[in-house]
This record gives sequence, structure tokens and C-alpha cells, in this order.
Amino acid sequence: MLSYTGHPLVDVGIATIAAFVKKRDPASLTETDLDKVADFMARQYVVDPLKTFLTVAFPNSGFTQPAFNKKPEKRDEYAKRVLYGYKADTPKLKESCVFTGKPAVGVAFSDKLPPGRAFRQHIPLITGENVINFFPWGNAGLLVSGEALLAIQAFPLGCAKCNGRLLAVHSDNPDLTYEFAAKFLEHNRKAITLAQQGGSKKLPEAGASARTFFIETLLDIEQSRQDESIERRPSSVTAYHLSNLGSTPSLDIYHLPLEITDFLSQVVSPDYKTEWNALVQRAWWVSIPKNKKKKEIQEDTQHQRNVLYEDLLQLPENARQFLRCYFLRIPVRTRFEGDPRRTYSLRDEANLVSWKLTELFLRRIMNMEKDRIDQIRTLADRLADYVFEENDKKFFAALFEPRYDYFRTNLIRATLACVQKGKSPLIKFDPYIEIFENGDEIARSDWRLARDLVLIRMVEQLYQKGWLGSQPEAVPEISEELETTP
Amino acid sequence: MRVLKVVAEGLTTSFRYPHFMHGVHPTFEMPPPATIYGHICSALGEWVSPEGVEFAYHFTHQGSFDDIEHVHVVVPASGKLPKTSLPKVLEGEVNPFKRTVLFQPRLMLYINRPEWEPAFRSPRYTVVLGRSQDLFTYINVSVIDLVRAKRAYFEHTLLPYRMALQVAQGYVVLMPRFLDYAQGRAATFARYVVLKRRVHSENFLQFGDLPNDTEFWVDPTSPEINGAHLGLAFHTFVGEYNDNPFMA
Repeated sequence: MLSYTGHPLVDVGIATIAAFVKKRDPASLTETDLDKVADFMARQYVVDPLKTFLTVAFPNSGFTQPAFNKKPEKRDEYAKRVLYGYKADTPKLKESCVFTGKPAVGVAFSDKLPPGRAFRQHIPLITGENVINFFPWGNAGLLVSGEALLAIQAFPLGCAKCNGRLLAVHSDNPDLTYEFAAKFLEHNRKAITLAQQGGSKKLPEAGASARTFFIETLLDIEQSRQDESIERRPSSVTAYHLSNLGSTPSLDIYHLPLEITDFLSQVVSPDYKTEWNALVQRAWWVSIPKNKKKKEIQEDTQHQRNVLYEDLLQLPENARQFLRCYFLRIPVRTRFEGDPRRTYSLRDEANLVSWKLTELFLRRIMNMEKDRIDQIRTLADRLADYVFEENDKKFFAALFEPRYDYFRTNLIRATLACVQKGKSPLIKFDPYIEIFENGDEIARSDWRLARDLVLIRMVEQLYQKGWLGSQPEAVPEISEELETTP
Repeated sequence: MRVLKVVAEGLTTSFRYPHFMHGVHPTFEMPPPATIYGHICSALGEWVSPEGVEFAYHFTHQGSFDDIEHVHVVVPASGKLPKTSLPKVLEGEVNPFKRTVLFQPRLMLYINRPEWEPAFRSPRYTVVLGRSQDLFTYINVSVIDLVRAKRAYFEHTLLPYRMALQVAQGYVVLMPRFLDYAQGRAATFARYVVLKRRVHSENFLQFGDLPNDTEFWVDPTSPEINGAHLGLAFHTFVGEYNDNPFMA
């Protein structure tokens, strides 16, 4: 009866309806199923907490219109007009729904409006009544079918409430759209019951910022799919954090490209889970409100923002900084006291450095060729062995040097020292050139990335050998440096 | 394949999501096909038939920012204009809208209509891409011969949704494919992959129903990178659009 359209609000609504009746495939929905959902909305949308909650999605609609507070029959009448247009006996227009291509519903959503045309109180973030901007030929309003309008009315139920706005998650993979909507719907239904039992007019907020909650939920879903051995395919996922409220509508869109979702599906697997979770735990924002007792502070700081999760949304563009911060534990200069990245320290957190995770990141997010990754790892292993055998703290510290000429000279000196001791050269010409240089003494534009990768592998190896643990002072105190030309 | 290649640059552009209208206007990061159709028609000076027209592009920008714009929000009105006998047909007010704008956009557009070269050398209407104030300049207009190649790289472009799993990069958006001016600007939509990063065809995932000897249209005048030229994914405005991704 329904099918996904590709439009985020409609699709999230369709997934919500499907989740409500626990049928994953919208095509399998019957009119009876839609009746159940529409009846639920007709009952719940006119009373708190949903009546209050819906002002974010449908301000001034018949559900939320304060003038109707003492006229419940008006609310019921409105619910009938906007919720039941899918029924077979509903009049239809010759014009088509912009979302589904089906005939638009031949019902006016209020006595003042033309049939089938929806406005901002019916569909979030379109224009108000009669406004002709952005419509062809000055014909105000969007033509909608009964099915699409029902889906859009159901859409808030399949969203999380974050920072007073709606968080909707849509994917080109219908299974993921369904999973998000089902999770949020289940949470909302419980919250509705609790709020009504407790006499509250408001739905509780999600326990985290929108971006954190988005990634956190996605990882939960991926974990469940992993645990249940559900076959997955890479999918692109987009979150819409929006408010249609009053004069301050807002919309933030967060895209997670296919390569990032693929990476995230891998990190929850048993191969990477331990290392990944360790990074996640160190990335929770610590808010330090003034004038609060220690206990209150602890309650306030529970899992509100995770900078690792939120920085994932800057990928792949920000991949180098991400890698440096989270995998090499280089602190970030920031003026926010609660930002955990300020306190990152390679000296104290060498145990968090994982080449395995880094390698996955390089392959999935940075598209690095396997040969290049192997070359870097081989070089790093050789250097780590040298540092361990020679206990050469000075050499190790010099590898953090931000200037390429110093870095290069240091490597050459160490190599000469090795040869003078009758050992094989520390570095060989060809791999070195391929990793670090474009030509004779001309550094590659990404030499710093290569250096960071060498360090990640070395730190991991030296930590495993016990060398770093026994002498943490070997790691220089590094503050985040500004990117400069090599 | 002989094509028209148009290189155009501007200072700003913005491609509004069609169904987000009030207060916030986020932009697509690439021009939707419907925008390209409008752009072509603007150069030609008429609504040309979209049948058989194919295009591909490479589109970059140097960043994005939010601009607060004053939008005149208007509604139909009746009565007379103040102190006149003239009928008032519209009235409205100025509202601040937050519009996301792309900075320094650059478009390399390939169209399978080399015969349109004169029109792009002397465009009928003001050259814009995006909004009417987003002026563009044609830097170069030429006719070139594309070639088939087994190796290609794709970057900063729109790919058909069918290629999403094969490329395994980028994100999927629903975009306006065509606005039918003969039918009250009725819009049709389709899903596309916005691909910003470079992906070489040898890194494409190979699936069962995809022949191993797949070849791509490439622009032989584009920079050669790792032995490959820029690959072009051509799109149509109307007609069948295969939305079934290549699957294992």
C-alpha cells in the first residue's frame, strides 16, 4: 500500500507506520494497518505530551492550535481531515502528489484552504498559507496524497527529540531507515506512557546531542545487526535535525557517506570493538557547570556529547586531523574546558594506540592503497625494533619533529649509525622515497600523514614490547601544531 | 562520442532543496539535473526538448557558508494600492532566511549536443547557475571527442544511484531530475550519489551482473592520474532511470 519515495520526511513517516504495525515492508501494509496508526495519532496528537511535542513539527496545526484547546471537536475534525485521506472512499484530485505521484487527496485541510494543498502546519518547513514563493506559477501549497500526508503526520513519532528539535534519520537502505524509525518510535511510545502516567506535558529529551545521538544509535543498530548476523550492504545515511517552530525554523543536515558507514559497521565487529570502545570512552565531553556540587556535576556530565562521534561527521574531509587526534592521541587546541581532546596525551594513552584500527581507517576512509600501508608498517616496525634494541630515546623523540628537513636528517643519522655498527641500514632508499618524497629532498605533500602513521605503528609496537610503559618520558609532550607547508 | 564541453566559473551558487522552503535553505553540494536543464535552456534561449539530451559534469567549490537573506514573502492581495486606483495583487513582508551558499563554484559540463556550441559561445540569457544572482562566466567552450577506456577516475560529480554500491563512496540524495514546464513545472525526482573524492575504476567493487570488461567515457583532455583520465557518468532528464543498484 505504501512505498518509499526517497524523500526523507515521507520515508521516515512510512518507516514509522511500518514499525508501528511491525511490518518491515511498507508494500505489505493494509488499510487496516494504516487505520491503527491513524487512530493512534487521532487519539494521542490531541493530548499531551504529543500535543506539546508536535509544535516543533506542525505549529498552528489543528493538533497544536491553542484556540482549539477548549474545542476538542475541532481537533477531532482536523485529525479526520489530515489522517484518513488514504482511505479508498476519500475523494481524489486529478493533480498528483509531489511525493508519491499518486492522485492528491480531494479533501481540504481546513475550511479556508483549497483541497489537497498542504502548508507549513501540515508539512514541516514549507511555506505558510497562501505564500506563493517557491511554488510554480504562484500556486501556493504542496499537493499531497492521503498516503503521503499520513506518513508526514506520523514522521515525528519516528524521530528522536534532541535539543528541542526533531532528529530524523534517512538512508537509501530502507532497512536502516526502518531501524532508526522503529527505535525512536519505541522510545517515544514508552515516553508517552510515562509522561501521561506522571502527568507531564513534555516528552523527555534524548540523552545526548543530536550528532552524538545519531552516531550512537547507528552504532547500536550496526551492533544488533552484527549480533544477529544480518547481512548488510554499505549505505549512505543522512540525519535531519529540524524544527518548524514559529519564527525560528532550523535545519541541520548530516551526511554519512558510504565509506563512513562501512567503517562504522566494521568497528563494532569483534575484530575492532575493544580498541574502538576504548577511544569512544575517552571522547565524552565533560561539561563543568559553575556553582554545582560534585554529585550534580557527575549527573550532568553523563554522556551528552561524544567528540569522536561528532568528528566522524567531518569525514572524510577531515581525515588527517581525525587520525592525528584519535589514533595518535595528539591533543587539540580548543578553548572549551570540557573538550576531552584537550587532555589527550600520547605519553599517558599509548595503550589506546592501535595500528589495526588505523589501518582500517586508512583503507575505508582515506582510500589508501594496501601497498603504501604495508610499506609504512614495514618501515615503522624496523624503526621500532631499532629504538627498542638501541634504547634510543633521542631518536624516537626527534621523529615527532614538525620540520621535514630535521625529520629526514634524523633518520639519515640513525641509519648511518646502524651501518657504522655493522648492522643493515635502518631505512632503504626506495621505500623511503615512496613514503616521504616526491623528488630529490622534496617532501610529499602528505609526508606529515606518513610520519604520523609511522609513529602510530611504532608507538603500538614499543608499547607492546614494554619499552614505552617502562619509560613514558621517551614520548615528548606534544601540543597540537598548526598545519604548515612542509 | 563528440560532446560539447563548457567550463564555467562563478563567485557563488546555491541549489536549494525543493521542499525546505521556510526560514532555512540548505543547498545540494552539486547542481541537480533539473538545474542543468534550466541552465542549458537559458543558453539556448528556449525550452528545448529534453528527449535524448545527456550530460555529465565535474563540479567543485571552495567551501560553503550561511548567508542571511531577506526574502520577500508574498501572498495574493486584493483592494487598491495606497493612494491609487491601481489594483493590489500581491502583498507581503520581508523575512530573514538562512541560505547556504557555495563559494567559488566551477563547473565542467559535458553535453551530447556539440551542435549547441554557438549557443554557449553567445548565450541568449544572462549566464547564471543556481539563483538569478549567481552570475557565471563561461571560461571555455569547446567540442571534444570523448573516448572509451577501461580505466577512469571519477571525482566531484553526480553518479547514478545504480553505481552507489559499486563505488562505495559518497552519499545519496534525492534531487529534482526534471521540471516539466509544459505541465505546470511538475517535478520528477531521482536518487543520485554525490561523489566528491577521487575514486579509480579499478577500485570499484565488482558484482556478478557487471561485466569485467566495463568501459567508461573519459575526457582525454583531462589530467592523467595514475594512467587514467576523468571518467564521465552521463545522465538524462527524462525517460527510464534505472534505480536498481549493482548488487553482488
